[in-house]
This record gives sequence, C-alpha cells and structure tokens, in this order.
Amino acid sequence: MFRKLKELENEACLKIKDATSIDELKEIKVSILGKKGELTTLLRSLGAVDPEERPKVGSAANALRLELEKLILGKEQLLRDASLGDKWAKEQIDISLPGRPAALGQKHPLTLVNDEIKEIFIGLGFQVAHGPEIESDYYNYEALNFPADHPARDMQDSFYITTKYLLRTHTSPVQVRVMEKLAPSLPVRIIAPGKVFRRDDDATHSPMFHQVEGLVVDQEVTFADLKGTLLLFAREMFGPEQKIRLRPSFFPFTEPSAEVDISCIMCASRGCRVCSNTGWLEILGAGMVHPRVLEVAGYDPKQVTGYAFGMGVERIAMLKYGIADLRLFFTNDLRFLKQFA
Amino acid sequence: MQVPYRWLKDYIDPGMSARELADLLTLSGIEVGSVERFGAELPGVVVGLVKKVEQHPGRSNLTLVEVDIGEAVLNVVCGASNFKAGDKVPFAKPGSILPGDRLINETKLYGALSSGMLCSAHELGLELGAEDEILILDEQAPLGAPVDRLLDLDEEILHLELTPNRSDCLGLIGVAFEVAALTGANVVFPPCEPVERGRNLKDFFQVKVEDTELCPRYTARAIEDLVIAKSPLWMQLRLLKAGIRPISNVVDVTNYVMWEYGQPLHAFDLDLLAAGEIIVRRARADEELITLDGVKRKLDHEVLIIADSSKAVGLAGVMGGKNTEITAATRAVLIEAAAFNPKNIRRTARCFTLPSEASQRFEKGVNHETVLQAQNRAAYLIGELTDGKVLNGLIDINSSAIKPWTIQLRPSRVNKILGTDIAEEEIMAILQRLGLQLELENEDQLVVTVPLRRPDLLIEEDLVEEIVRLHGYDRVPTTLPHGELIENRESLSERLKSLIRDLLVSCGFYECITYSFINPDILSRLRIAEDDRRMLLIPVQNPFSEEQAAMRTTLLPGLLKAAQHNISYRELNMQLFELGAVYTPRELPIENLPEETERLTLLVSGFVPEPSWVTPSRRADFYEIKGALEVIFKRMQVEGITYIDRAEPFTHPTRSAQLLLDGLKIGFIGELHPDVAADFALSQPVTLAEIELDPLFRKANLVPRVVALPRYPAANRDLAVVVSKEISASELEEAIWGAGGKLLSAVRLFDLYEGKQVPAGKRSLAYSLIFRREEGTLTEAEISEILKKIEEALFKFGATLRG
Ligand SMILES: [Zn+2]
Repeated sequence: MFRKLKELENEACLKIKDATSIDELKEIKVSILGKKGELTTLLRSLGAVDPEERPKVGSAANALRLELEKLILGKEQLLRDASLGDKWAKEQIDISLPGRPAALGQKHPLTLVNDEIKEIFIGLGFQVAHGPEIESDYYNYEALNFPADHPARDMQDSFYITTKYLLRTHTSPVQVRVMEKLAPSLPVRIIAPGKVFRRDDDATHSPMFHQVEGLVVDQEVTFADLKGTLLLFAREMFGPEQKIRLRPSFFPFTEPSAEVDISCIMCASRGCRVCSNTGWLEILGAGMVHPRVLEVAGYDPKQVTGYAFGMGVERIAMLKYGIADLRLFFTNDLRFLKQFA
Repeated sequence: MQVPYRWLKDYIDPGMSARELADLLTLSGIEVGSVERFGAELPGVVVGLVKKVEQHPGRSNLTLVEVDIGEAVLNVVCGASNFKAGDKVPFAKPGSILPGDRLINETKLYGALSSGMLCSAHELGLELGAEDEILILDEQAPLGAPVDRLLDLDEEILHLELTPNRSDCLGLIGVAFEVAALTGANVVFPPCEPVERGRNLKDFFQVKVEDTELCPRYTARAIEDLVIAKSPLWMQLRLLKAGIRPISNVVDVTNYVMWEYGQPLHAFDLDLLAAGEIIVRRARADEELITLDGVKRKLDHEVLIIADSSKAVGLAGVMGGKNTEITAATRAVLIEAAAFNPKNIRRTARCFTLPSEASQRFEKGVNHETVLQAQNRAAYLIGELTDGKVLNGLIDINSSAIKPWTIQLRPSRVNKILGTDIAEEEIMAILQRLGLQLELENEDQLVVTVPLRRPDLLIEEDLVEEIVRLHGYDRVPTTLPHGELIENRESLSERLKSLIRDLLVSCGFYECITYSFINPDILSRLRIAEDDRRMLLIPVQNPFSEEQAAMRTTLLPGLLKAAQHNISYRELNMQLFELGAVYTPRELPIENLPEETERLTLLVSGFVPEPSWVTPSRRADFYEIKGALEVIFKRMQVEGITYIDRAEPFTHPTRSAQLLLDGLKIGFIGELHPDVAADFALSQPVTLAEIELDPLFRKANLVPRVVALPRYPAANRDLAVVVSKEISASELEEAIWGAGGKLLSAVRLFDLYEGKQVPAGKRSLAYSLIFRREEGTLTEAEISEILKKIEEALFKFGATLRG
C-alpha cells in the first residue's frame, strides 16, 4: 500500500510539474484528487488493509493529498502569471531610480556629541545641571580655589564684562552652584554641559567652545571610582577596546588632579601624527574635589569626598568624526553640516 | 622651562636616556611637551687652527687664511676680520654641509683658491655674535675634532610644560630634586663658595628695605675690578640651549644661576649707584624710570622699586633701570638676589606688560632659603670667570618668617581617598624620596615636614597626590561609584528643547551654533532702533575685535552670517535654526547676573526640499517657517498663538508677522527687507523668525488627551469662494467655524488661487469641510442646511461661490 502511494506521488508530481496550461492542470487535479481520482480510489481500497496498518496508511494518504493540493496551487499561480506577460511588462518600474527623498535636516554635530555624552552619564545615574554663561568671578574662580591675582588664573584667559563678572571660562562653576543648592544632602551626581569662553582665537582655539563638567560627591567616592567612570565613558564613546591613561596634573579645584588620555583612535595606539606618536590622546581633565571647594560649597571635607572632571565637546567631536579644523563647528557651512545627515 | 639634558646631569644622573626621563616625568606629572636635539649636525665642520692671515692681493676687504686642521693645512679666502693667527675656529671642509643644506665647495675667489670656509656662529645655526663674525673656539679645542660634537650641538632639550603649582621646577636643581624622587639618584649641588677678596662691602654700602612685606629678603654682593666681556663659549651655549640670549659675562652669570636655582638675579653697575646705598621701597606717585628696554615708565605707589639715595634704579623683580645698566664701561657690579611679594610682582608685570623669565618666577614665589645660595653661586661664577674681586662681606636683609611647615598625614585616609591599598611603608618611602621629613606620631598618624622648595604642598590631599603620582596613577584600580539612586531625568525645558530640535530636523532644518557675542554694528545695520530692547547690550571689556564686542540680544546676526557664508559657497538652499541664549542686563553696567533666556531662531532661503525626480521643490518663504512653527506649537499643544500684520525694522513691510501668545508678543516671522538683504550681500530672498521659548514652555503640554473614535461616518464637502484679497484667510475661517456650528468638525484650506480665472483684486479659496454627528449619520438635508449657513456667512464678506 505504501509503495502504491509512493508511486502515485512520483507520478503526480511529474504531471503537475510538466503541465503547460491551467486547463491541463485542472484535468490533472481531477484525475488525481477528484471523486474518481487515483488517490480517492486508492483510499477507498483502504478496507483491504490490515486494521493495524490502516491509520498509518490513512494519514500518509491525507498528507499526500495536502501536498499535492499545495503543488497544484503553486503551479496554477505560476501559469497564471506567465499568461499575463504583457500586463507585467507594461507595469515595469525602474528599481534603480533613487527613492523618494525624505526632507530631513540634522542637529549640529556638537549637539549630537553632547547628547551622546549626556546619554552615557544619565545611564550611569547622573543628573544634568545647568549654570549661567555670564558668571561672577566668585563662582568662576574664587570658589574654585583660584585666589585673586594668582598665576593659576593665567591658565585660562578670560573675557571680562566688569571686574566682577566675566564669561565663564569653564563649566566648573556649576559644580559650586549645584553643591551650594544641595548641601548637605547626598549624593551629588551631576554633569553640566554648556558653552564656555576663553580669550583665544587660532586654528586650535575658538573664543567660544563647549564643555561637559562632571561631579560626584558622596560618603566614599574614590579616585579609583573616577578612573572607573572615565574608563566606562571612553569605552561607550569610542569603542569597547578603549584604554585610558591618567597623568598627574594640576587644577586648583582638584587634588589629586589628572589629565586623562584615551588610546589613539586614529592609529590603534601604534603612534601617528594625530597623537604625536605617543599612542595617546588627551581628552579631559579630572581629579578629586579639593577640600576647600567642598567646604566653600557647604560640605564637610572630613565627611565626604568627591571627584570632578571636565571635557571639551569639540575635542571629542573632532576625534570621533575625524574633523581636522575646529573652526568648521562655527561657520555653519551646509557642506559640513550635511555630512551628519 | 627648557632643560638641556647634559646640563641637568651636572646636578643628577638619572641613569637613563633623555627620552626615557621625559616619559617618566610626564607620567608623574611634569609634562614634557617635546624632546629635541639642540643644534644641527655639521658634517665636515672641524676645529681649525689659524696659522697665517694675509691680505688678499686683489681685494682689500678679503684675507687669505692658512688653516691647520690636523690632517692637512688648507688655504681659504675669508671676508671676516675678527680673528688672528693662533685662534681656533670652526672650519668647513670642502664637501661639508651647513644648516639650510648649504654645501661648501672648493672655489676660486678673485684669483685665489679657497678650499673650505671659516664659519660664523650663525652659519652653524647658532644665534651668537654678529653674523659676519667668525666663531672663536676654545684654545683647548682639539685640532680636527668635529665641531658639532665639541659644542654639544647634539644635546637634547626637554621642554617642560609646567603647571602653575610646580614653580619648584623652574630651576634645574628643582628638576633634579624631582628626578631624585623618581629615580632615587642623588642631587649634587654646584660649588657656591666665592673666594672673597679686598674691602668689605658692608663698610661702604648699605641696603634698606622699607617694605618688608613686599620684599621679605634682599641680599647683595659686590665684585670689583672686573672687565665686562663675553662669557666663555660653554656658558653662552648653555644659555642658548635654555632659550636665553647671551649678553655679557656678568649678565650671563645671573641668567645662568637663575636657570640653576630658579632664583632671578639682577646686576647693577656699582659705580652708578649713588651714595653707596640701595633702598627697596614703594615708588612715589610722581616717579618715573626708564627701564632696560628704553621705555619710560610712570610709577605709582603700588609699584615696588629698587632705588639708590637719589633715584629709582629698577622695577623690583621685573626689570632693571637703564641708569645702572651693565655696560662695556662697567668696572664694578652689585649683585641682587631677593625675594619679592608674588602678587605685587604680578601686578607690576601686568601693569607694564613686562612678563619676563624673572617676573614669571617671582610671581610664583621663589624659595626664600635659596636666595642666598644663588647669590653666592653667582659671586662664585663671576669670580671664576672674570678677573674681578668678589668683595668680602655679604648683605642679607632677611625678614622672611617662612619656615618648613608640617602636615598631618593618615595613611588610612590616603587609601580612602584613592580607593587603593598602598602599604604604610610604601607611603613613607615615597615621601622620603621626595625629600620630606617624616615622624610617626601615632598609629596611622604621620607628621610630614615640607621644605621651602615645595610651597605647593600645604594640606593632606597635596601629599595624597604626591603619593599616588609616585606610586603610579596606572596602579590605581578602576571601580564605579556606588550609592543611592537619584531622580535624574532631564528637566522639562531641556526635553522641550530636544523635542524642538527633533521636530525641526524632521522638517528639513539644519541646526547651527554661532558665537554668543556679536558686533553691535550689526544691530544698526538691521536698523534696530536705539530704544529697542535688543539694543540693551552687555559689552565685553576685552574683546579681540569688534566681532566680540557685546553679548548677543538676538541670534539673528549669527544665522545671517551663516546664510552669507553658504550663499558665497553656492549653497543656496537652506533651512537653518539655532537654539541658544540671549543676554539681557538687569542694569548697565551690570551689577547682578544678567538674565539668560532661550531663543529659537530660524532662517530659510532658496528652494526646498532639494528638487528630485519625484519631488518638486518650492521657494522657502514665510510659510515654510510658519509651517515649522505650527508643527512645534501643535506638538506642544500650545494654544492661543495669533499672528498680526507687523514688520520688524529689518523685515519686509508686507511680508512679516508678529507672533503673539495670549496677546503678548513672543516673536516674529518675516522676509528680510530687500535693502537690508542687499546690505548683507544676500543675493536672494531670506526669511527669518525668532521666538522666545520660555512663554511657550510654560504653556507646553506633551500629553495628548485621546477622544473615543467616532462611531458614525463623517460627510465631506468642498466649498470654493471668490473673495476680495483684503479679507484675510483667518477672518474667513473664523466665519466658517462660526456658521458651521457643532456639527462642523474640521476645516482645511486646500487651494488658493489668484490670477486670470478670478477678477482682479480677488482670490479664490477652496475649503474641505468635514461634518459629523456623534450620535448618528447626518442626512443630506442637514448638511445642505449647514452649508447654506456657511455660504451666507461668507457672502457677508462679499464672497461669491466658485464653480
Ligand atoms: Zn595615533
């Protein structure tokens, strides 16, 4: 019985495959699956089969019926499409034509990078804080442990409005403003993005640029935590293989202080022009919040510690996108801006 | 700070190459910006002995010189005349190459064969002496020896980029202490005990310090019977390597010692100091001084000066006076080594814009202790290098109260701040390598005594940095902070700004970022009236140029510049926007922080979108911007926006609108006035808008209320009317709504036509109207009735039905 089914299957498949018209296919269908068709007939003789075998043969025959029906349907569609050849030809489109353009613009690359930095730190549980761009000498310098008339102020040449007010030279004053507002509650965990201004104007300096400040103050914040946070940031921003290197440095408002390098993304640390053959690129400054800054802002340096960091958004954007000229960010040339769309 | 490596080795042997030391210093906090070889290679230039000098037979300004270079005796023709037989000079053999790829060949000069060249310092790439002066080498220079090697031109120079706290490294001995801490090598001090001779200085000279706060220590020594001449070549070369121009033996010694100790010194012509006296005092208001640079300086009471009994002779710590300058005629000198008040020096140096190597060191504070060592070292060197007599006696007016101080250090605290596990023994070893004295007071309690040369070490945290930088920043583990969760979603206004950016980007706009300062002139060019709020500018005190002269009160200048730039590069089609702060003073000049408010500014010009085979482009105009703003208002669900016909001073009189929110002006949209556009060299129409964001943000609501879907189908009817152009679209729409009643659910203007098909002065407007009843289907009769009412309402405007 199984053998018969197999024979029938082979024969039917061949016939269906070779059918050349829909009419012929219909005939084939009737001759096999119709009331007097071969499969129907075969099923009728099921009574002669050993009762034990009967269910198995029955289900095999049914499976065959379903399979053949599917084959016939598929063949029928093929034959129908083939018969409509002229219609299809008339309806032919040129799929190589460009798609209908969607009229999209784009955010400024500095916004894109700024957004990414924010996203990374918000993901780590940081709040986003803001402060004024015209700042008082007190918040920009004094509260950050830059005494008046101190050479440390020469590190940043300022644009002054009056003797008491200036354009902030860094986003660090936001540290003090936030701590003043929150003290003595813990934890403080913020980033502060924004515009900053320095009296510099050449190929590598712009009188206005952008920074993102970071600050964490809590009961047991350590230098190791700072390192860990920055490593994580570097990897999120520049790729999971990134390494960072901290070098001792000096900022009046942190102690210990560090300049932070990432492994050169241009040459995979092998040494190139961009990294001056060192394999490292400096991307930010950081350190443990100076006890005097904590104290001035209302925290007891005996009870809490903190870390802070500040990075240049332009610098990161230049590295990330391979931008060679800082000035491109502020000429707003569409040939530049459209490269980010 | 330039550190010539072989010179540094006079004080310490780091036991490694210059580059290795550079890396070590950089990683421990003294950043070495670069390591460079000092001078050029001089292949073929050797030491020659001048045997004979004869007049050239044909040319009176040339000489024939016979030079012995050991391997041969050669004849050359020379144009210089500052040497004589017996001098040793640099000789460039034929085939040698001088800096600037200058090849020296055998030549004939006016009939005489010249087989090489005698070289000036300049020809060897050294800024020494006159350009046409042959460099005279040391008598002991070995004949035929390569000159580059002899002069240590291959010496490597480490360029230190010092942070302001590390003024201790502004002298080579200070750098040596740092190297000692890093390598464990010992610091060797140079000899500084002069041989005293002759009369006693104190017998005929006195120093009075009137203001000990501004001058805590003043020392003086005198040297007599000396001849001012060039200093020896080795010293001149070392100064060149430090970046200092050699001048004369005495001045060179003062600079040389400054480079060793970081202590600036000054030399006066002793004979020009009146009445054997130095007075350190504040200047009088009417006093003047001509400084060494020849400039007459008006002094004031804040300026500390060095004076004799009759006149000012120097700006203390900044620059000496012309009247007591060391000259060729000088026979006796007074050497000053002093400590001055850093802030006062900083003020004076700034006041007269006279930053110098000396003032830079005084500003950061010199070590009161080593003032004396530097004084003695200078006297020693002058005694050694000149014929002068270092007089007996030293004047030292010392009112300095600074003594080594102590800091309490808890090793447990070190590890707590760092997140490390550094053993107490290592901590102690590091501090000792730094030359700090330690005493274990209690368990976990060290008393650290800091020497005067490290004024940057004041508190426990400063020591923590010293420990970790010598332990190695790379050995600190990486962990993440832990602690309580805090609510950290961005503020609503930040989210709204982000939303605006997203919406505008999806409308085809590109974001710009322009400078926050403007040239005030641009506002006049925009014809903004004097009494306009936008003229309340906060001036910047010290801009580079007019372009940064004031803080912006509008973002328009920035976007106009961007448009100009793009048009000049033939990027003619643009939709631009900027989100940023403008600055409004509360009073002028400001006494409080000004108000910083967010503005949104848009600019369109040319055609949008980019034309393609499947999408036509249109001229970007007023409606382009209005449409984009409507997207924003709709998404924020801000209602109550109205537009009135009013131009800005710089916009087209009949293509401008003021935007009101609940009746208050929040901004404008308008085409730039053609005259203004021409003034800005904008060759095509430009439309602008600027709106204040705070009023919008106060009304913004990002949560739509959803109403249930209607259960009955709506009926759609079109209605076209021809009406006078005087009637505004909003008037008509209001009338339609008024007449439509509550069964009218939507009105959409889908066509607007002016032209041949309608009478002059009129236009045709076609509306698509949607009618709907909540409960049940509207009948044809009901719809006709409402339509009729609407038509009648429109007829009141003189409208007629169209087609
Ligand atoms: Zn590289």
